[in-house]
Amino acid sequence: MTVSGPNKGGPVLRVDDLRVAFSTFDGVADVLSGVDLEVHPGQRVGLVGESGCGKSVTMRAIMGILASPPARVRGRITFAGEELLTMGRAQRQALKGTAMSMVFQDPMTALNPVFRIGEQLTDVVRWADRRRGLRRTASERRARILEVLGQVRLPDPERIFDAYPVQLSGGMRQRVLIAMALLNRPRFLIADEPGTALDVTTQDEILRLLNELVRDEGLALLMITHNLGVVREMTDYVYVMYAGNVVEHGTTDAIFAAPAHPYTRALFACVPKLSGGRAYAGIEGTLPDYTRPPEGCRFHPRCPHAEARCFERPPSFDLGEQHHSACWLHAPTEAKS
Amino acid sequence: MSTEVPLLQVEDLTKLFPIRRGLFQRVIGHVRAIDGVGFDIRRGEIFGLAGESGSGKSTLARIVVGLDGASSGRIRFVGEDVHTLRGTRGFRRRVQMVFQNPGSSLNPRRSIEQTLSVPLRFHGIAPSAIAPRVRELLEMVELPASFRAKYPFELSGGQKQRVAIARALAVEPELLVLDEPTSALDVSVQAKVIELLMRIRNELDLSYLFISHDLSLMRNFTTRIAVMYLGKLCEMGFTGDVFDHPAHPYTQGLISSVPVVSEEEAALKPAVERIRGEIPSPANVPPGCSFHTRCPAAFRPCRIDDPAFVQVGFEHRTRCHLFPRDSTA
Amino acid sequence: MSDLALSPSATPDESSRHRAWRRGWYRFRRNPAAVAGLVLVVLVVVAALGAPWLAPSPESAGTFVNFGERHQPPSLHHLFGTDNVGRDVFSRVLYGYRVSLLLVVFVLGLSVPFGVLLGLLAGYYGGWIETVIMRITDIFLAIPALVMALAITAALSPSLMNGMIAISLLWWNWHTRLIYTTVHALRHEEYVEAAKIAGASDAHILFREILPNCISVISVKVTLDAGFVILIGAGLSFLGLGAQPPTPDLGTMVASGANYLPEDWWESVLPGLAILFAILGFNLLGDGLRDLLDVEVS
Repeated sequence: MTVSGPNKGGPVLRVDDLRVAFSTFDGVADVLSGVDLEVHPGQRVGLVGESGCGKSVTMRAIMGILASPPARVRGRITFAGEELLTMGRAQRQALKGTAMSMVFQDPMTALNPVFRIGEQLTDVVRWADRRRGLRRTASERRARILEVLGQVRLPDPERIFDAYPVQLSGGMRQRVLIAMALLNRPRFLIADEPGTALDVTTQDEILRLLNELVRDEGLALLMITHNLGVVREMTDYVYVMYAGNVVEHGTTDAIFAAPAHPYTRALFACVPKLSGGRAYAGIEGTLPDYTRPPEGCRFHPRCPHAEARCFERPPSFDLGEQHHSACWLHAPTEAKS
Repeated sequence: MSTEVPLLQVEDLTKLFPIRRGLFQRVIGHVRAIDGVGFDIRRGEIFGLAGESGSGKSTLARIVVGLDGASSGRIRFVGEDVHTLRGTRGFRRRVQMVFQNPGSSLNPRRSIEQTLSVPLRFHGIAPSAIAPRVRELLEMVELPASFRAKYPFELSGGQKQRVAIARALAVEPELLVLDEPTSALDVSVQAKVIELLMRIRNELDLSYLFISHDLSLMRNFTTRIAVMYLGKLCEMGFTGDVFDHPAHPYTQGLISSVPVVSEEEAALKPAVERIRGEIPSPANVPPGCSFHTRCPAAFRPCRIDDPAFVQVGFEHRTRCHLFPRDSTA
Repeated sequence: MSDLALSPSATPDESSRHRAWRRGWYRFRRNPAAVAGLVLVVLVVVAALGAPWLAPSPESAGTFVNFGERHQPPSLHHLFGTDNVGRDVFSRVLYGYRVSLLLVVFVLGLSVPFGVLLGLLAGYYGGWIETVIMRITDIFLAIPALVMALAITAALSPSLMNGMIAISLLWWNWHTRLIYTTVHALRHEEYVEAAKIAGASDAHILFREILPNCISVISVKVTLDAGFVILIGAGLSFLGLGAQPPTPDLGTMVASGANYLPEDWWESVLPGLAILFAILGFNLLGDGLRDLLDVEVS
């Protein structure tokens, strides 16, 4: 398979009508009900939402790490022009950690404490080489690892190579995880809440680093996070998820300038501001039960603007060329009145 | 300033944890988790304690509620030494705590009613008065009375935290220690919990010691704030003053590293160099000013002398060699 | 799946406990090994309790002899054949389960509460209490159970009662260790500290806050133990140090049947399989039990 496929101008990743359901004790949990999203080459995309909104399920479906059963996945996930959900196991396996790679959330548990950093990184390179049929000597692999450790600004890569995870601080381990994701020169990176386990000052450093690396290498990034501040500073384009749907998407500038969907607006109102002085509202009610989700727009039971037609599912309405909201408030007829 | 006796006075508090090694567990040194910390909490105030992990802020909370003892220093409650009060039920009921993690602060095997009745039973509430009081507590935290019979696994994180707040309120305390009460919650849930805490404070005339690493939240929620680094206070003052004119390079760096959601807020961040690296281990505190290893403004004296905690404004203090003397107007 | 919000209860009037059980049962059912274990254990218990009614020849449990029918191979009339004095082996196996279960109930009933209590105290208080209890426990753990049981029963004169006492003396320490480690992890849980701040007494914290959280660990261990106790009991009897003839003990039956191997294999092999059945059942069940009991926690 070709990693640098014929993909001129099109998105690196395209998710079409992704539906994921789980069979549980309470019945079938209809978690994702038709998620669409695109990530273009060199673009930094944020997938933002609160816990339980389905952002992790989306990420796992893309990475192909949903256990099935109990998960039932339908829809299309196209990566570099190839359909992932119908692809053979071996082919899909070959993509993981190579063209498509992932930065894990928790630097304390994502590394195995009993192996040296160098051993763990070497494994990642070796597995990828085997899957791609690449032959490299141990010293070539080591050179590549040291190069990437330097790239993530770890001081003294040689020493890090021989260190055990416990000998490194949280921030250094997070850097190792980033290095691990970059080892096989991916074109597309998924970052799952990077740095949330770290202190603010360290998180800030890590995000800056990730940002620079993505820019320098021209990577496409899909970042999953609950932190709107991080989204603002790290992404070009945002998808806001609520209860298994994308409720609003658009350029980061457009959404942060004028959040449109009632959920997005409520979410923004909940974020405490560094400028202070604002009472914040919170959102009434709780996330719906996925085994019996509300009909139509899933936010309507909590929405202050809910009306009769919200029992029908709203399509995505255009608010601008690069700003879309799935809310009847933004239906074209309504816009005039 | 009024001359009223503060609700809580922490004076020169120090906590050492022994480091033990070898077969016989000999003490070979000490970790200074808290090093000469002093502050007051006034009645009705929300006092914020900010800091990164390893700063000692949670240890301080544990000492204030009596889960741990201090190595030296003193804590007074309404002027009286807590050491003489401690152990007496009277003091115990006056200071209560809400923990960080809603997942583990409620016993998974006990119903909400059982959990809420523990403090009531042990503070001499008549058995017949317990059930009505439990209902009253649930109402106070805006949960339906039917929650009495539920178990923690049936509750969302926000609901669990409400139960934890109700438990802390059960014995009518005067001071609540809130140890990162919302850090495990989503923002929409956090907003509701904070709103609840504000309302309860006004209704019950409570004071809070609010511990958090979330500076944006601190900015909105606290009256005064102290910033802690490696067991020492490095800045303390009214929240507005500290955020508008942060004096210590650490405070400045901390504020400027907060991810924000608007241009307006971004403009408020001090334009300073980023803080480098990570907080050193408390077992290995750098000499001189403990922050000098990461400080963008460090100069010679910082490596040698520990600066004094000096006045830089009205009730605004900092510990930095850039401010050698008290400079109150 | 951790991303999913917990759904509110299905029917508003259903009690939380009941619902937790149903959820646990749902998870348990999806584990075929555990269900098989449960079926085996239920069969064993029914056989033991119902032996007087189920056994085709209840008199075979005693000193009954019927030399006319000795060494009969398995048939419809004698499912497991007959032994050297013509007793029905199947009936004796059913009664043998009674002896095995009696042993289990006696040994675990005596040693588990004692071991758990010591573990709670050592884990919660620490300090010298911990040192004294845990060092004694370690000493007992260092002695191989079977060897010790052999020594004790040999010293006391072999009988079922002495066998049970010997095994009990060796069993408590495993529970002490287990509960000690569990409590050590639990004692800094926030709900324990919250109870302390709320002014709760040590007794409350130990028995109302910590102990309920040890129940699933204890239940799993007790279930697995049941198998081992049966095994050790059978071992003692096999060596002639446990239950004495004519008590229908499975170990004794294997031992006496062994004299007639290989021709009259059923006399020893089928009681042996009966032991295997019971142990397998308890082990499979023990592994699945956690699913059933830990729903409130997960």
